[in-house]
Amino acid sequence: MKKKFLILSFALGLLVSSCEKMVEVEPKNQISDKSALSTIVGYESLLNSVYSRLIAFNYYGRDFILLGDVMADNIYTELTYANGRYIGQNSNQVNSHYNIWTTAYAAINDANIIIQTIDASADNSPAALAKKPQIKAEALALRAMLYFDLARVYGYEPTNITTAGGGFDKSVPLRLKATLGLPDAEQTPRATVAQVYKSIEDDLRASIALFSSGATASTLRMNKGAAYGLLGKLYVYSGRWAEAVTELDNAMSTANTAARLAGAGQYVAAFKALPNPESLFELSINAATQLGGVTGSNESLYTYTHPNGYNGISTFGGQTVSDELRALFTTGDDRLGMIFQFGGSSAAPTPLFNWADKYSAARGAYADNPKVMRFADLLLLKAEALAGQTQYASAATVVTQLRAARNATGVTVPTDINVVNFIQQERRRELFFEGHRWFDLKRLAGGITKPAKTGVGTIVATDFKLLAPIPNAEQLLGIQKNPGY
Amino acid sequence: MKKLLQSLFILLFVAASAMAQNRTITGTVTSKEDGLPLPGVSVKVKGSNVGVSTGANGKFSLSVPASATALEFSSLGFTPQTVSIGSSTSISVSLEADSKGLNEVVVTGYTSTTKKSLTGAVSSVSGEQIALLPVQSFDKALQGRAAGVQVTTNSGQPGSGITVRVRGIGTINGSADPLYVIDGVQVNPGGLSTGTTQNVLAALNPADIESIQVLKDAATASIYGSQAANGVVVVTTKKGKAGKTNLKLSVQQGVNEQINPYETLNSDQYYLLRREAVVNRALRLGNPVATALSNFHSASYGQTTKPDSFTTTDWYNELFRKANFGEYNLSVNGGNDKTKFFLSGNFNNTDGVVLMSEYKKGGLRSNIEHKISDKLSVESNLNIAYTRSSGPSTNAGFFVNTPFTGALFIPPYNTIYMPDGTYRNGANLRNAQNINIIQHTIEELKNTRSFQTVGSLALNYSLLKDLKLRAFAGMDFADAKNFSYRPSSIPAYAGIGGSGAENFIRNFNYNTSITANYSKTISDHNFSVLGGFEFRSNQQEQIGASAQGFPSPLFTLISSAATPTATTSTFTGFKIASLIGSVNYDYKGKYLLTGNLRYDGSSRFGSDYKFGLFGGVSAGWRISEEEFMKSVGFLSDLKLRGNFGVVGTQPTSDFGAIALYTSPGAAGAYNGAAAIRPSQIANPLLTWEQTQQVGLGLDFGFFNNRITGAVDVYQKKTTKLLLDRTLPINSGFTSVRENGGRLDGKGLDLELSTVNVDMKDGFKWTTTFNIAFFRNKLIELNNGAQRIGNSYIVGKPTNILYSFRYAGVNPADGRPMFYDVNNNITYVPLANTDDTIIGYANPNSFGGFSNNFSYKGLSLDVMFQYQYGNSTYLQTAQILEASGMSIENQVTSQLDRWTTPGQITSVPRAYDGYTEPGGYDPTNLSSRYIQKSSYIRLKQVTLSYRLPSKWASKAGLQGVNVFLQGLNLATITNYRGEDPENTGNNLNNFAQPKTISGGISIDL
Repeated sequence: MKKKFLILSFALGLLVSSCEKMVEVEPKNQISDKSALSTIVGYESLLNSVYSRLIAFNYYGRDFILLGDVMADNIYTELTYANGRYIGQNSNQVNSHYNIWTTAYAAINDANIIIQTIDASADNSPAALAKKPQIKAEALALRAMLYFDLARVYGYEPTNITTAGGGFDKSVPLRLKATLGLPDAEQTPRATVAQVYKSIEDDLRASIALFSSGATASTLRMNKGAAYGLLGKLYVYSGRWAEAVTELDNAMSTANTAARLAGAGQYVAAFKALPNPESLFELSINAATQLGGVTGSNESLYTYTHPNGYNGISTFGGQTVSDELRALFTTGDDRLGMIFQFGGSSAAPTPLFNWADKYSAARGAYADNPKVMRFADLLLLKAEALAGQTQYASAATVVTQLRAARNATGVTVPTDINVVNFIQQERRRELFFEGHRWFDLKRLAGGITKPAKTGVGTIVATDFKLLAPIPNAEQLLGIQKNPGY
Repeated sequence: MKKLLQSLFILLFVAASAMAQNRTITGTVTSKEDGLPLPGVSVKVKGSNVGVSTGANGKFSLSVPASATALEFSSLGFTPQTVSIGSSTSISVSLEADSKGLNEVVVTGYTSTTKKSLTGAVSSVSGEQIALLPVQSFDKALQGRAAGVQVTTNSGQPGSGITVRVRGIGTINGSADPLYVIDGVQVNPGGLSTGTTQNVLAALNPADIESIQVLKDAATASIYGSQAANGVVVVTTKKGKAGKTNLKLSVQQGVNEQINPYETLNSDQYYLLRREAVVNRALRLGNPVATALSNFHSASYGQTTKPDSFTTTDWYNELFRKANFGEYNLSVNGGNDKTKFFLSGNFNNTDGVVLMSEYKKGGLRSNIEHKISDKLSVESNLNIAYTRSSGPSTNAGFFVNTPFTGALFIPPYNTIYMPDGTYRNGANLRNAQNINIIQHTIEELKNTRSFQTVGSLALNYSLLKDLKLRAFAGMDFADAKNFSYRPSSIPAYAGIGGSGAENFIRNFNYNTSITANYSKTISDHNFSVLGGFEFRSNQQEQIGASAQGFPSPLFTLISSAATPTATTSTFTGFKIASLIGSVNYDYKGKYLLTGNLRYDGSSRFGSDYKFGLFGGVSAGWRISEEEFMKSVGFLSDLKLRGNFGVVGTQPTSDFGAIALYTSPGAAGAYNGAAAIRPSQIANPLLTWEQTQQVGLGLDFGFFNNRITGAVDVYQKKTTKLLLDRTLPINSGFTSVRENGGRLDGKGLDLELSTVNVDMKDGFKWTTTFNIAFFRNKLIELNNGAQRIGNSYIVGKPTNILYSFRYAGVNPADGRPMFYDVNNNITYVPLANTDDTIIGYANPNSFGGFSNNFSYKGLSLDVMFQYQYGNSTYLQTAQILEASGMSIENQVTSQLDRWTTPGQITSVPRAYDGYTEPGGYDPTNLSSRYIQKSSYIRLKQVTLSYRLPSKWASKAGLQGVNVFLQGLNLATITNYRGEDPENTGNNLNNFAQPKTISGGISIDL
């Protein structure tokens, strides 16, 4: 009887716990969505994911910084040394283009989750409540930036839909709702440029309202000044000049950002500082873990823009300063100091090439922070917005202010309509190798005159290759492709 | 001592039976086969516990009660016999060797039955058949012995993993491995090692195995529900037998040898071929030949002109050796009516045929059964094994630092050592990817040390006469430490100061069950019903770290290194809870019916499909038992079987159904702060793959069972395949795993055994043969897709080899030609247009064929094993058969390259750098490198001699068996690679060796 009892109790012991519970295992390497966002730390980490996606090589980590110059007229890709890198993009071959779709939408989903769920988050400790507005503000502004980048890569701008675009007004799918489950993952068609620009504007306005003061905010994260700056830029792209001036002034106001224009003689040094004192927003890359060894030598900004063996660092450098860009500078211009001459892999043999030293590995091999938004960019956008309202003299004053800070004297900035072209030339001199040139040429719809050495000639403003191809996998799932592809 | 024990036993029994009115019966038990006396035979009075064992001379003396009517004689390996006593006081019996046959016990998981009343399709392999095989794991021994069970050895590294497929492949992304159940413990197969390769099933000593059953049909396998779609391999280890204690010792010693199929160029041939390639290129491109040659000479020979003479070094042979192995087994088996035990110890020491490859395993087993009372009994099985294996990496692929590619491809004019005895390296080692493979193989350290235990405890309780309860708990536990080290003495690792990694893996897997079994016989109706509950949990944890910058090659632990480089820690696991039920019914042993049901819940299933019901029905009709068949004289047995079942395959990912957040680690952190992100979208609908199988079988025996066999045909339908669906990228996710599509399969298994000769004087010749045919076809994919890349195409079988069709060489100019989509010749085939299905890696048929010849104590086993109709991709040939177009050494067939206009050959002309302007690289994958790799292999020859027991007993032994055996002695195949058993990529393939061994086994 005792033994019978023994067996029965053993059996019962096994049956006690309920069946559903019995077959549950909690993962540890990953965690379930329920627990991941149960605390404010989860949201902070999720927000970090957005930043870390931005530094992917196909985004701000490299392509977004260099392709704007490679596909336009600032870079000549020297085939012999480039090891295949950017050869197609430099000669503007079909399908050799930006490819930020996957990365950007993954980041948008991260941001969407934050924006959609953080207010209702269960963590209501005082510390959490204090952090929530800042996290949400960053997520909103980052989402705006992601959509702005997607919109200008895959679609036309409000100002050139009818001209360059021939009326094609499709932008990208607008997803403002988080993909929390499979039903949310349904395909979303492309929205119009107007809808996407409206959404970006709304996000930026909402984020600015939530941000605390930007005066001392870290420029390694999205901040109030950068949000104003992006809004200003959005208005410039939309031809809304007056609003642009207002917001760009807000962006550069000491109340909203810690960034300042560097003084004369400081241009080169500023790029070696961390962060660049002119950065309203720059991204931090960790040399040891994110650009260590092979990754750095194969993929980094430094490796693309420096000759092999320069300073003893091995590279696949082939992205050189085009002769046309080099010719734009006058002697004494600080920015000319950023360009050096060197052979393909050693100092001696001819031909020598012009190389740009904006990503100089000053903080260690291959390690350079990409600059997302710099003070000078905003200054010149403001000049453009003033000129757009025919306030040529005011525009010229702004440009002169910048040139003074660069020791670029000897040339008088025009105070008439000619200032419009001068501003674009100044943007080229100031912002080369920072990824702006392609977007400037594209939105102004004047066509692209490629460097002579590329042998490409001129790409007209209506060329279909001005828009990037929609990824094939998305086309297969019903996303409308861009005209011409 | 032995005698003393024996007498004690006899005394005990005599004492026990002395109380009744007794008479004494004496007699001798002999073997029918050779007429020799049999020691250790249990002699029992029928219906009582009174009994005795025969002595060394086969004689017994037993005092029996007056009521006794008959004596039962039984001994392991012999058919039991019952002899009625009558009034005699002397009974002599000759026992017939056990033919097993229809009374053989077949374990079908939670219950067992006999072959006679089996209704499903089950292949059995007995422990005897494999006991002497020098294999490190039992799964390898199944090869060629069970119809429909395909066993592929992937690596010649001793103790490495192998692939077992039961009735073909019925999945795309799911696991295709069968479920292994060892003495009731559900064990995960697979690797334990990150350093070398180690098979977890090797912890079980093959000599401890009583029997292996492979449950092939879904009805029988369905008792294991969602884990049973790929069949179930049920292993039962040896149990103690009451009676005299048997001590068995066996020792085997042998040697392994590499089978080398490659004949490579010597240095003169290499020079001429390479020179020709360089000259052809210069001429084709219009470059000066003299410049090209001088560049070639300086790059390859370090001088601008041709060297005066060459030496040839065969690196491949330098890497291999004749490797010794030894296997030692000791087992003790015995017990009484209350307690029975089987204890064993084993040690295996096998060197691999490649330098530094070795395998050492020591194991202990203790199987004990004890009756606590008439109603309650306890069983315990415990197995512990320690394994240490080391050897080079055998991952498939072009890794220049692995032996099987490195030694083959290196140009032969390099010697291994410099004149001063140091390794040839750096600038002195030419065209060798900067790697001296002998140095790498010897100095790179890789090993795995593991402890493993499979153990179980069961309580059996007879609640009522017909109702038995069983509580079972079993675990499979393994700890493995992996170590790998690359010293700075190797130039490739000198720059980082050497690197090392250490990694711990722990597997903890257990299952517990409680079952009730009720059996009842009412006149001619026999019922038995089983019901129960089972729970299984499986967890794996890993922790590891790596570092670089070691002070010297003498420091090998990562703690001594300057820079830690990476840390890893992972956890994964699953749980299954199940209700099980089974019914058996037969009428007069003539009409048989079995039904199984299992209700499985698994942590791997999505929340909407947490539980699933599986089951099957099988029925048998023993036609030979019908009155109307009794008159058919030649018919000994005939049984028709039919079965239908539904089983499942679980999703391979333990957490595949739930939404997950992952940390991208240091590489995905931002500005020093950790990040998390959604990495997987939830699919609450994710569930098991479901396989329906219907089968029909016929068991037959003719001419007094001189010819026996079974034939089975079956059809499988797997639906709800685990497939990936592409999601809109703008959702933030790229794909989700879901269930969909359908894959069908059908096949035939045939097993045949014949007694060809059975002569009065004792000569006997028996043959067993098995063959299996299987073919599958992809019927449907998810979401209406028609194909997944070039690997899976709707309407076609799986395992496709897809490429261009090579059309040989243009006799006019030696250029390689291909067929385009319209069967016209093209020199530049287009991907996605001109490529097509070249073949399938699945064989049409496979099986085994073995013969046994015996005469008195002498026995010869000859076993062949074969596979027919499969194609194989020879990646190694893409490098070795390249007309000398690059620096790697070539096989001699490349000397037939095109040289003269009008020459008919299939080897393109030598052209340095592969691709002529306007041409296509002929060493890219095409049908040129895909080959039918059918083979038939002389797998095993064993000659053994059992010493006459007269001689053995003089030495005080019960039996002595000496044997000689050979494995993989000869292979007939067209396959150009190392081992036709290797069905995948053969780059860096460590082929199975040829084995010769001899040994002795002694019954003490």
